Amino acid sequence: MPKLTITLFTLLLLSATCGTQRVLSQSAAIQGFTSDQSTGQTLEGVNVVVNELDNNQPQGTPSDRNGFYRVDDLEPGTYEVTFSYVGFVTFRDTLSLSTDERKTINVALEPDEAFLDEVTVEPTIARASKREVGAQRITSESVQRVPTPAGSGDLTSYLQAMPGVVTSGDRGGQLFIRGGTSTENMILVDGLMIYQPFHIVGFFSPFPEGLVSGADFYAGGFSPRYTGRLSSVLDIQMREGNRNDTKGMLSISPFLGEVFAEGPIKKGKSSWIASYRTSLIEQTSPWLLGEKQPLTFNNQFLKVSTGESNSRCSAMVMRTYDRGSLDAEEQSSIKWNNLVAGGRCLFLPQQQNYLINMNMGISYFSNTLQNENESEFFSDIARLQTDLNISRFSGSVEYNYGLFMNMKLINYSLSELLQSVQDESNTLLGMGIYLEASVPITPRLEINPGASLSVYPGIYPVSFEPRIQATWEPFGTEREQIDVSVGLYRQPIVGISDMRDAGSVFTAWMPSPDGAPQKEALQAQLGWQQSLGKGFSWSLEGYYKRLRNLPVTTWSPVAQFSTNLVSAKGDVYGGDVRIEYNRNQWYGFIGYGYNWIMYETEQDLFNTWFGEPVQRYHPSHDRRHQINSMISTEFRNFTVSARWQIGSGMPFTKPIGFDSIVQFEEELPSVKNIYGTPRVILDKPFQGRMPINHRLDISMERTFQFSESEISFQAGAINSYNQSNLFYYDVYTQRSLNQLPFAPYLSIKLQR
Amino acid sequence: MITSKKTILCVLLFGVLLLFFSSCNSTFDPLEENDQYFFSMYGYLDASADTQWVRIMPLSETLYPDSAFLDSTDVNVTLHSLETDELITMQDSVFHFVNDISAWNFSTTHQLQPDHTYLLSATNAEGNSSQTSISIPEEFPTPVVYLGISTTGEIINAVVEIQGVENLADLQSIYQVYFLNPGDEECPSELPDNNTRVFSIPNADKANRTNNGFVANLSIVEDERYIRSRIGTSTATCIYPQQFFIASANEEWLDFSVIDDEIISLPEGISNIENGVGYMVGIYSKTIPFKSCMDGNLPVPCEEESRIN
Repeated sequence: MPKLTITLFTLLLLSATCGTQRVLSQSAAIQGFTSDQSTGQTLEGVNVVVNELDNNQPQGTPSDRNGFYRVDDLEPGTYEVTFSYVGFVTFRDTLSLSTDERKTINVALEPDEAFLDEVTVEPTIARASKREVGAQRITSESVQRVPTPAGSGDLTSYLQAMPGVVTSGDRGGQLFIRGGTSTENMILVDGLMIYQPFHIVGFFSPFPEGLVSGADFYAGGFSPRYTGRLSSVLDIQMREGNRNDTKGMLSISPFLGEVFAEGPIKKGKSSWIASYRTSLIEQTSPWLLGEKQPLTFNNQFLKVSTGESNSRCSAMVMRTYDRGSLDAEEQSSIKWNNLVAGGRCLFLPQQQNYLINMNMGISYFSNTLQNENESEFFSDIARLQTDLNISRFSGSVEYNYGLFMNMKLINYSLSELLQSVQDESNTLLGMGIYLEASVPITPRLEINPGASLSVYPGIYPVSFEPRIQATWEPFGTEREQIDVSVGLYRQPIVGISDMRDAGSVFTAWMPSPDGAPQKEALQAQLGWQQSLGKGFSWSLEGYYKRLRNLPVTTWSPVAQFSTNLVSAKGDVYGGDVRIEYNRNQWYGFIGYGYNWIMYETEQDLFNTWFGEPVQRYHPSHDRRHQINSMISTEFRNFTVSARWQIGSGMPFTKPIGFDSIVQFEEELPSVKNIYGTPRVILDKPFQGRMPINHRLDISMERTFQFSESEISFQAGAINSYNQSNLFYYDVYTQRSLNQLPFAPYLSIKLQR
Repeated sequence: MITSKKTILCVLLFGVLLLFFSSCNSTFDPLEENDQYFFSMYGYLDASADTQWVRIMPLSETLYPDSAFLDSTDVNVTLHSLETDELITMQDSVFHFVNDISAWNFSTTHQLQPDHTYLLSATNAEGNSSQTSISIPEEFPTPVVYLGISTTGEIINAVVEIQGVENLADLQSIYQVYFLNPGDEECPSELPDNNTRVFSIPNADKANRTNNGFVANLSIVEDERYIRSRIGTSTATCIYPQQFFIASANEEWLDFSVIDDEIISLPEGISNIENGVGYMVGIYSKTIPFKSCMDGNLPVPCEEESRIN
């Protein structure tokens, strides 16, 4: 069967390629990079329009996240090329192209002083507006819009406002996307894996608006370039430093202090950018919130970039640290660290029709949980990776292919009171290749078939993961678009959390149990998006995932972290609808997400417990309904934003009652002398649901300009109407822990 | 002006929606309504004992119930003899353990009969009851003890021969430990009256089944090692073997040595309580001295004793 699948896939690729032979004969093209002349930084989204002088039929494309653009399929002739971007002076050039010529034009746009305040960018070329189903390009400007209790917007706050994205609360830093667990998300920072970047205070991550150049977020249906995760991909590109001038920013709020600076290493040629952020909530919470929140985090980031004309290289290091107690009354403490270091290079060989992207680096993650009963859990994972990615253009067909290799060193050690220590170390060496193509079948229909082939010698058999995505504009205009994607996804490592506690953050990484296959998801997604005009647009997406070989911990009535895994299967389906308005000084959206997850697992204990060996249940991240909305406007020099969200309760296992077990194992017990072992009698798994939670965050910002500097004041409040939102409920101690109460804040940001 | 009206309208609409949803406060009741298990019952009925003590607790809504919970609960516990139709009402007593944890034990001094079956019922004020049927085994012959004595006169081992028992519920070696006073170097030949403590060593796992019962070969050295490990090796003690406690049970008795802890932890893993959880068993027990009794050269059963406490 796999051979048949591979053969069919190859035939599909060949037929797709053959179908484009007509356009291969006209291979003149222009390509290059766009950048900001004032800073030397990459400029994404520049509209490149090529217009033949004696034939007014413009062709165009926006520059991508690397600032790269390419316009293919041009007849020999004379063209006017226009590079435009809001806030910059439009650049025009006239050029002649001969047959088969590939001309490279790198353009540095000059800022237009008259438009400095403009931030909204809406590409006007047809291909620019195409968005894959489940995918979203997140820009620094959009991150800025979502209220965050700090001087800068934060990527994690933005993500939490998206339909289909579920969090366990405002602490813990876990995201569940379209039915996946938090360990099924792939998060890449400049191409390198980062395991648990979101901070323990859930509004924050190491990705503030000032550091992020952009991010590609795939809630599903992602390309075969991304292998090794089931649920989602967040591919973050960090900003390069200013190559011409030294700039800086300083901000402080009751939640966070931040300093950031950038500047040239060699003027116009290379740059650096550095940032340090640290939490202040532990110090400010006693007077701000009326109770101490023992939560601490910080992160550091340094990136150096160099390159000109046809090549760009960068190296970066990022470190994050989180420590705290999710429940201040308990003497338990969780801490985790991420360290990511590596580099990437981008080459555009002269007169060639391909673009090369290389990444190399190391990612390290460790987490430790210490409990008051002297138990200690530790787990870490180190990942060395290298990958080579090539984008090759053949007429109007774009091929992306490459190879990747990684080695993971995984350890865990779980020590609990009165339990034997569970520990294990593993090394996984993985390698693979991928290939995908973007094939325009007609001007309004494009398909993207692809597949990856990966192998983990000695652990898993060869994994072939075919995926296909198609985009169709059914009414012949870019205003309406239908997207569909189907694909197979596998994940070689498993992150295990404590099933007893939905708020548990500690994760023990390990491979699938000996002899078990990789966890697997077959995903299908269908989406519709439409621009209604006058600033309104809406989208509707549905998805289904068939999950197989999911390792879940064995269910146990005994309070113990278990690494004994059994296989489960599951089904996930859901849909998201989102209406967006973006016009003049107004921006707003409202989105509704529906999500249904069902796991099914067979365990011996279930037979004794419930009279049948198979149990079906909705796992703890099954948030069935969620509404997110946001509105922001500019009003008399103020920017006012409000974000409101409501979500249905997540499942938990209800206790039926409590008693104490009087033991008969060794001798007949004397009930006069012993109390016994306290026991919670649990209902079937995850039959209960936590209450609905909802929250309104508001903010108001005003910026004052000085010669070369500006100072911004932001006042706002988290949980403005002081809703008591349950974070988690401990069935053993019967204590409830709420999310943050009403938390007003004032932040000050000074930047030059 | 139009923009202002639109702005006001939008803000009002947003506000109304917020007010509507902010009133969405669902109550949170983490406990599943319990119409399945009413009481937890643990213990045993012993036809050879003067007083019966059993643990009977309504299922609590907290992990560690306090006395206030028991004070506010109305429970009637009865023991019904199926053979004689006699109904015995058991008396409640609140027992306090560490950290203000309380438990209810019920007792009766009514003499129970071997080879009889009793229905133990607990009923709450709402009329919900849990019950279990407890059959008490018939009396068994007094076991015979053979002691192995070293050339220096010390007991090396004891062989306990138990006949007429289908299921051995318990076999305990009972010792009394005397804590030497500072300066004392030798153990007294006779057990002193004070400064002593009783230790019971569970030894049922050392009993092997025979054609008509069980036989256990018990090492005194192992028992003494176990006792010293509990006391601490730095404490000077003298250990005096005192008694054996033997209990038989009917077929309701479970072989706990082969049952997993997780099964035991399940509400119905080992439960024999109807509409409740727990485990109750009927036993017949004998307490005999830790010595060999001889009729000439023939070992014979010793006379039964009251168990030391």
